[in-house]
Amino acid sequence: MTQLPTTNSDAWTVQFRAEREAQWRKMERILATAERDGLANLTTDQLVELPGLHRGLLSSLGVARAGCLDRSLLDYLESLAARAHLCLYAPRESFSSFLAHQIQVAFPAAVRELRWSLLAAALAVLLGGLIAFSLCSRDLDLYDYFVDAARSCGRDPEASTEALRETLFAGTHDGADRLLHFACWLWQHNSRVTLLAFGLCILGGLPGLLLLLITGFELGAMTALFHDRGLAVEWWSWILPHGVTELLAACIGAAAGLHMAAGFLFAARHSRLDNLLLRGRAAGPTVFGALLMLLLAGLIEGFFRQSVQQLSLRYTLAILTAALWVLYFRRSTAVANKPSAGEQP
Amino acid sequence: MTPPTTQRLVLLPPEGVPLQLPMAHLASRALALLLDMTLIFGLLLLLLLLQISTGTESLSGSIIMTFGFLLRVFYFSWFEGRRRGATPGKRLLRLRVVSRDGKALTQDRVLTRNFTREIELFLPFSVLLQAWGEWQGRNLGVLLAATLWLLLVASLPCWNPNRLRLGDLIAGTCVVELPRPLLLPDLASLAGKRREGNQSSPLGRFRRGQLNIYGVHELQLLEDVLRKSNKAGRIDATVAAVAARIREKIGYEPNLQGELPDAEFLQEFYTAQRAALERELMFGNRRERKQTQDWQTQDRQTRD
Repeated sequence: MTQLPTTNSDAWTVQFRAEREAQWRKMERILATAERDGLANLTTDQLVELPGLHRGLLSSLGVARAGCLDRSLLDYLESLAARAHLCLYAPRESFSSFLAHQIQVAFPAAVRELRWSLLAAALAVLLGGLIAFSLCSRDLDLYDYFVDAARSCGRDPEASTEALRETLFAGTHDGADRLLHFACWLWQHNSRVTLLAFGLCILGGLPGLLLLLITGFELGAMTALFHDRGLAVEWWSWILPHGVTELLAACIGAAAGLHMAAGFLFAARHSRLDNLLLRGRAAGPTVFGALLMLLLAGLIEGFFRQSVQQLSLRYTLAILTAALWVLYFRRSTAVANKPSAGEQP
Repeated sequence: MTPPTTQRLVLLPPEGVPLQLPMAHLASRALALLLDMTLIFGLLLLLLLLQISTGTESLSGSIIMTFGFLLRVFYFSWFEGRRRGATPGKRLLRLRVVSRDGKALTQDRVLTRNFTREIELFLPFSVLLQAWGEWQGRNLGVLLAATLWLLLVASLPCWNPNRLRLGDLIAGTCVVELPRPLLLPDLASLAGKRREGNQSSPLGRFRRGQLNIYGVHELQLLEDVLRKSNKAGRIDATVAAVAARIREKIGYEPNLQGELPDAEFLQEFYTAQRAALERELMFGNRRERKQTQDWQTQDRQTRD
């Protein structure tokens, strides 16, 4: 058997690697700095070199994948290229610019998009309220079924009319600190309920609607109680200033979830998962907007409601907030269709 | 070495070379979540103690309470929306949140992704605690049913290969693992260095037929063996066994200069085999595994 010599015993990739290793190491160093401090903190020289190094890295990766059998080199290049890609195409949008865009453009547009789900959520609350109101008006003994004892804080059929009137107009001598604490607590509590409503509505819609129904029950039962004692006008003046904002925010949060559940259940133009993706992207900022609305409602409830006692002022504020939200959500600017700074064209 | 069964996210960047990002394992994600929750609860506990000491209803008490609330709701969104795309727990495990369509991860996706944690994480736990407390209550059936349902939602990552949570599914994101492997020295060039010193070892130590037996898979196994022995700095039994096996398989006869030591033989063989396989690869022939027929019949075939 003749000895057939192998002409070149060196793998060609040895030379390939020797030529390019310095570049890869340089890229690794630049990436380490960029990941730690941000692209803005690279030196001018590094910034100038970066695009060339990146393209060189990707080209090396392509060649290595096609022709190199050194496993450690392949792993290294793959992970370096992945890190470089994520670093260079990382989010460029700051949170403040995102927030500005949301408040000015995206949130009203998203809520308009949600109008049917919003209607459904509002109807659920209304239905709950009407059921509880009609049942409790006939027979106040049913009150306990609708209102939890812990939540009613003494506002139940056993209380006298005077005690009930007290609850509507109390709290004038609390200091600002105490009111702030109350406002913060309210914001927390309402936010948790809204997030829960959002999450439950995603899961097929029904559990979320039940939650809204239960909220309506409480409201309806207590309305029936106050109506029964002849305190209807005072009751509504107590509820409406913050209630408009709060209920609207809760309904918006629930509507965001319902919109997605509807997209999943009734898939017409796109597939179910595609619908989830398309609608899901706007759902997060919408819920965030609802949380901001709840902050406002909490401040009104905490400060205004406890301090201001005149019925006329309370009703004025209620009407003002309702008008504010109507005007805000009807606001449609010509730039509503422009993508925000963070999106790529 | 990433195992071949890991799911990968394939992105096509503008440069045109597809990138493969390995998706995070379930265990890594669970551990990162555990670390994050520990951090959150630790901080909340600290804040609670602070609030108790300064007085619950004072101004500082309110601020602390609000801060605690913001921590709980926006911890994940804040960290994932930053440059790194990872919370501290994820960073420790080298995980990162990316958008599944390859574009930049925008703030709205991050917010959506994290708002569902309320029903995935916090609700099941609170319902479970309630069920625990109300062992004799009439609500037990409802609570257990709710818990079961919620656990199904929380365990969604187990039911899909990409390990997507409900939040990931909705927001179009996923979590990838970004290890940082070291660039180890080229084994083929080590052999070259040795060869320069030893003038008597010729090129073409192996006949062509001998290099047509093993495939890429075996080559990379050999690479592992060599790297381990180089790292350990000593020759162990594996090296001797592998060398003997290869010699037998390819029918290696020692040269006139004498028998090479096992480690050097393996090094030489690795270099030559890699060169041969890479040359084949350039022509588009990739031999993944070793041939089942023996080299003698093959050598006869190539000559004919």
